[in-house]
Amino acid sequence: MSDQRLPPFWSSHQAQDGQVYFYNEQTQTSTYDRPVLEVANRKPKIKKMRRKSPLYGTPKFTMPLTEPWVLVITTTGNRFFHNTSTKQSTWTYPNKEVESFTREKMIVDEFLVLIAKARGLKLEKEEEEDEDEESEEEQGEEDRKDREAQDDSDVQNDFAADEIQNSDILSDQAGSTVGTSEPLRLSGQIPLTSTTPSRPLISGYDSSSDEEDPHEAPKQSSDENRASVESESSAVESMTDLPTDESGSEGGLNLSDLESDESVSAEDSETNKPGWTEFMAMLSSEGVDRFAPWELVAEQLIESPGFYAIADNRGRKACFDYWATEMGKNIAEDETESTFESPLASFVKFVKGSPKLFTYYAEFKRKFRTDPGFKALDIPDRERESQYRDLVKFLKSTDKTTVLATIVAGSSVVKAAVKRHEDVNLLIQGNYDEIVRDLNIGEFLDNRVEFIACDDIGVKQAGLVNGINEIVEVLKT
Amino acid sequence: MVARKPPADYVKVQPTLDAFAKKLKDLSRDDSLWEVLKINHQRSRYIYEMYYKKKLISKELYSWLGKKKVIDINLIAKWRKQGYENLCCLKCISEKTCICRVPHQNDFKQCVNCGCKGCASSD
Repeated sequence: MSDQRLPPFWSSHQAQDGQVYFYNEQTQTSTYDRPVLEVANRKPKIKKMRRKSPLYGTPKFTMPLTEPWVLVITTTGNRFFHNTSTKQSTWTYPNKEVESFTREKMIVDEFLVLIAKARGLKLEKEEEEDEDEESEEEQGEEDRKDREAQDDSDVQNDFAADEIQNSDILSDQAGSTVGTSEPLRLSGQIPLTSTTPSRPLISGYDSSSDEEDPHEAPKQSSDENRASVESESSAVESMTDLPTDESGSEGGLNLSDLESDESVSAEDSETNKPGWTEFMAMLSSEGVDRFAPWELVAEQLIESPGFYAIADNRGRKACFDYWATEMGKNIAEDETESTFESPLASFVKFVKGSPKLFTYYAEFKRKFRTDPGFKALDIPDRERESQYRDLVKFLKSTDKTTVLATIVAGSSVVKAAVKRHEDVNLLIQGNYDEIVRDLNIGEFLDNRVEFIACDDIGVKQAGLVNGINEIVEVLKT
Repeated sequence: MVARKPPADYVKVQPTLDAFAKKLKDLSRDDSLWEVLKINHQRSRYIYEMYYKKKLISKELYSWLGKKKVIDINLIAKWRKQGYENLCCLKCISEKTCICRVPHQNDFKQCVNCGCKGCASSD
């Protein structure tokens, strides 16, 4: 779909931090967005409708209005009117008929969804709903336009860039730097703005009653309209709200009812708010990333039916937050510990697994320099060498318990207990896991090698006891 | 001394933090300071929720992000106080209290310090 070559005068470079950017020799500008190569036999200016504009985006969807007029939505969420018979486009209402039509009859939610989609929302499953049927029609048109709109991949993958663009556009409505004359007066007249689903990350400060960008000039007349439309689309708009205080809004939750093992049962027991089970079921089934911020997630989910199970957007956010924490609790611990093996541990395992234990680090390095196990320990070479030496010394020694005893000295828990002359045996039996965790997490780097190298828990435990007893002896003298 | 490498669970928040970084980079020189403050707020808010509310990231990661100045820990510290849960920026409560801190004000649009439209907790 998109051409990989760069247009003439453009070149790509890499910045110091690894970011790739594109430089245009001719205009001496640089940008992060990949410029699109114009198809050879198509004159760039031929159809006004298809003109690419980095500021206003390429046309993506159309919505039929009255007779020859359609409403076109671009990839950045800007809207303009196009006359299919005369092939002319305008930013403002072309006539009274269109104006009244858009104000009254157009289905708001559908429109908002289209804007979101144009700005890169990806639809996973097309369910049977009115909105989806409508958007499937649009999908056909979209495919046709895709051939010409080549920036899609960049646009779709990057909500953030689009939102920045659009917010710049809206804030420039005062007429300062934008070239065309009053291009976005449109958004003043149709109170449904792109501050809705497509502008989540930016809109942290907007309160639900203030959809418009305040710099907008013709604000007074549209106040009434805003009020009427607001009630209709409050569900989607209030996505721009500041986050509510969780403890207050979730007063209805009975967290004590929850079982902590099964995520399914957690969903079931959350009953106080209507629609929460359905909503959470949807969250789980759509494979939502619980680490993503709500705004991005909402954009992703806007199409699925369960999304509307909860009417109020604040409620949805609260439900999502709740779901994320619950899922986090259930999955978290094992997941993190199993996936993030300390590099030292993997290095130790690697060395143990190798057939021959080289006495000299130089030999070991020469042989295994390119091996991933070697590279796993990502520290300066000198440190790696000392680690290796310690490890080899340990692996070659036979008296493991005495070696382990030296480890004990490093554990703060044990040290504190010894200082207090507590009964160390009891301490070890009681807090073995804690002590092990202490040692593993790395209170001291050197001795970890030995500890990890020794797999047998029994030996570890014995070593701990012996070591501690030795220390106690020493302290007594 | 701040570790150059992030803690293990950085990968969980990396996509969103990268998106924020990109947004900051994309700000042109003509953009107002408000945009920068806004992104700072949003980014800190995200990590604040992940750590304090949802408890989905570790203490190590949180403090590492603080030391790296990725998040504004002074601002987050205010969010933990009652009454300041939605505070916009630190400037609005230092010296004179800004109009954006007063609830239900309709006479102003955006406060002069950071472009906030109202951040009282009852709003």
